[in-house]
Amino acid sequence: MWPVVKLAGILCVVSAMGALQYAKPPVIQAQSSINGSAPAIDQQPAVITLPANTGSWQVADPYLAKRGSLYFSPSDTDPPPVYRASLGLNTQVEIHVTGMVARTQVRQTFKNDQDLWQNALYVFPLPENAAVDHMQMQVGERVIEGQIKEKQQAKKIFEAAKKTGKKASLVEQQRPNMFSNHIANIAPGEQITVTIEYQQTLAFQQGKYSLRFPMTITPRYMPSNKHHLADADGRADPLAAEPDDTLAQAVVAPVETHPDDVTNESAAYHHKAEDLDLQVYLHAGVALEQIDSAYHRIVSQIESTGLYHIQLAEQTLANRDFELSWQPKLSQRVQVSHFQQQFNQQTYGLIMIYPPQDLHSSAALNQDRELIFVLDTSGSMTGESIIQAKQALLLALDELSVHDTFNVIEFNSTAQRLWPTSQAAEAEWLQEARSFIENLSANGGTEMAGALSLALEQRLPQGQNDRLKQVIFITDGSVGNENTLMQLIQQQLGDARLFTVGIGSAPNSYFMSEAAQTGKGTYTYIGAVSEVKDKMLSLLQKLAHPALTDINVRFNGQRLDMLAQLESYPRTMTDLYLGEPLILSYEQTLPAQNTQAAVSTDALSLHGRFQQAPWQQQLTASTLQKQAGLNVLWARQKITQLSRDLRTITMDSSDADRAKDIQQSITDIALTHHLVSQFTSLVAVDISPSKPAHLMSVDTLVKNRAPLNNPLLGQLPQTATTADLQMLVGLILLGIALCNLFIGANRKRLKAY
Amino acid sequence: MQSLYWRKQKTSQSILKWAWRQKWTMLLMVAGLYQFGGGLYLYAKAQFAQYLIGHAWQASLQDGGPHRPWPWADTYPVAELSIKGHQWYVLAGANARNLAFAPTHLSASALPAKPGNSIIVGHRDTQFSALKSLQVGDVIMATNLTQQQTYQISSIRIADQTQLKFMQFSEDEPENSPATPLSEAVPSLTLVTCYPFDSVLPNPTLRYVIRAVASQTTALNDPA
Repeated sequence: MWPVVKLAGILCVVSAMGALQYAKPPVIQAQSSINGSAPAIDQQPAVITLPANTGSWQVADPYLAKRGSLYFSPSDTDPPPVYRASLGLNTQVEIHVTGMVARTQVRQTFKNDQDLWQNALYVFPLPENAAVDHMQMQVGERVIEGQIKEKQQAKKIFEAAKKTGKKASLVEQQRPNMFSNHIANIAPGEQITVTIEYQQTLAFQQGKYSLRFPMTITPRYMPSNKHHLADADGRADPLAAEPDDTLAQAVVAPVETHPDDVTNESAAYHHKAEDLDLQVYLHAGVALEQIDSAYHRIVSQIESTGLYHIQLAEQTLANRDFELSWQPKLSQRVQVSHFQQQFNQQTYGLIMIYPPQDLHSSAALNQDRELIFVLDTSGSMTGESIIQAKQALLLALDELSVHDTFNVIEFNSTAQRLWPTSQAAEAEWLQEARSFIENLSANGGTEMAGALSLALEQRLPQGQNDRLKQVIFITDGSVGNENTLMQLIQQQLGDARLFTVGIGSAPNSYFMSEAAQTGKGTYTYIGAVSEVKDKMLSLLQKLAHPALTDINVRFNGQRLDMLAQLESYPRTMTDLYLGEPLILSYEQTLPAQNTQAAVSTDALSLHGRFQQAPWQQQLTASTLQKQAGLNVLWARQKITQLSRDLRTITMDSSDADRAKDIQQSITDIALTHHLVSQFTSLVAVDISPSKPAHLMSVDTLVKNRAPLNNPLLGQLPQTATTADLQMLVGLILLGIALCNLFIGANRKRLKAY
Repeated sequence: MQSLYWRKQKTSQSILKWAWRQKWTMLLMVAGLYQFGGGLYLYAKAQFAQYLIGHAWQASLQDGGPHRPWPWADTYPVAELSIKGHQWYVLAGANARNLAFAPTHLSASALPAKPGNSIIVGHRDTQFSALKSLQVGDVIMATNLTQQQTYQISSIRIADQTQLKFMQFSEDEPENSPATPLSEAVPSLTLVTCYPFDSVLPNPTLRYVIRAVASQTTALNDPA
């Protein structure tokens, strides 16, 4: 009996040791000593309502601004400065929408209504994927203008400004998507006019475009919230490296729970202070079903063909963000819109292709397809990865329609396919494929080339040549010969489409997205077993409805990618699928003498295959003014492409010269089109006419959104082993066993007495 | 002769009997040895693999191509790291299987000693347990097949496993912050391992992130 009691005792000891490990305090101490820069939350000045009839109020953190705001702080404060928000006297917003490009110009006027000299900080929360590219601030006689400079140079200017001892010219911390700039020495009663411009690419979701402009006023607090706030932070995980996020939530929450209070309060100010004028020029390029504003009453009128002019119907309280959405009227056919714009004697164009509307009614859209599933079963897929991959594949089999044919290829050190030719998606074949997949296990090397050519080469049986071939490639992409594989895809692709699916904690997303681009397909990343279903289903749904294939644009009958005077991005056009419009943006270099003639001709035409028959359409351009920002769109796409090229070069060869060339051309493009990029920054330079041109406040700006240039990393792999735990448990067990033996022997000796 | 046989028989019988009487102790002993051996195996694997990987690396340096450390391996060494007297070979592909042998390189990041940020992940219990002794300012040397790059540690921080932003190139970081921002043009190195060190619990959610920025590049002499 008693050995059982002993065993229970041992288990207690072991679990107690485990429990000790969970005790977090030592961990927390260790962290604060290492990461000394962790901001002390308690020192944040908590916040503060002011009497409702003053035009400004104190805030805890100006970077939490919900809208474009100006914050004043007295000139000579050592940190921590006290920031007071100031409401704009006047705000003018002009938004030009062209297709899916929205260019916004914001002009705000503020006033220093205190009787002292002050410094100010202007902040503006930007939408995702946007970067400010133009900026001008006018303070009395002074003009501070944003200029795009090459990074090194920008840094020099910044350092120089710092040396001149301008306290206010220092860059403070910046949040993602928050534009900020300091302005020093504003005289009492002086007015400040801030103008910024930014461009964003709108997403088409559920048949709609939507555009948001931030107008919510900066949150404020009752001092009684202070205790509550500290409490919330105390409980928040102190190891989260960005405690400000929790602060932000804590600060915003009370405001959201009492929207009425805020409305009433802000009404008090806005009544006399705020003067907001918002205009949207909407040039959608297709007929619109409807235009909606979520929170504000609007008036919209048609200015000329296809151009809607939208205004606020009444002076509005700025307590909700302005949100405008519009729905293009999709028809049964493919629709194309085409815009052109002049910039620097060049013509820039945007072609948008909208898919037909109906998902289900037009059965003709369901083209017969051949699907080839390729599964990586190499050693690197061991564990979670192979489980996810198999699950994804089994799910895909369930989604096949009776018209489809399919085959499965697995590869590790060698590639093998299930059947010599593809089989119809009928019960018996599906059953065979399922048991084939279930029996796969991960081991061996990653010889991807064999599998790729097996998938791409496979010839269709006679009479099935018009089937659309879609290859779905599931792998973690850990390969060393990226370039060889890319060439192989390029040579053997033919009429097939390659869709890559990345699996596991850290797949080689760079390679897979690049391969998908070359293969005219898309890249999908699945990070966890729980995501398999959603992501695979949406991919398969999409693949089942190709609307227009083999798309290419021709200029006087010549393919666009063969022409020197037309440079277009993306380099390879993918197919058009239901629910996702396609865009192509180009730059046309014109011979100087016949500029007029070349622009006016409708020499561009779009070609493709629609419902398995050749399809084409002439493109008629509507010419736009400069504000449209089509050149910016083109430049951004080109920079994205060049960044990918750069990565390919630095990864596979050490061709330093070519890398330098590409870096140089990215810089040149960014400078020409006034763009913030990975090699250029926006610097605020004082260009006041009255004083000698010295440098002022210098803020390098916000980002190019990471996803553009950065391969997704996925998730970090687990890096702890059970080695120590195992050894510890093993030693404890051994120790107890030895004790047991010893005690047993002793007892025998005692008995012998 | 017979008596000897009997004695033998008797001895083995009595051992069996004794073992049966002590069955709980024996069970504990076997379980203990199994566990201890399992743990030891992980260390041994990490130790021994470095020799094989070292051979493959030498072969790669000779002919410039990837070489597998053992015939059934699904990976190859991509670089060599030396930090404060430690020396490790880095394998391509950060998956669980490779991590058991050596620190691994995240394939989506830049190669060590090349421009861009290179991310290397290692086990906190084996090779990368040495990271805890590193400090800001320490020098790391990374060698790939063609270049050698010296880095200096610029920051050390602890992050949640989901906070990938600390490992990515980002324009959001202010230029003059103490943690130098990552850039696509300048080589940088990010070493990642699990945190806390010296804990016996598996699957922690925290990561220890060391960032180092290039200080000096030299081209290797052509080995051929």
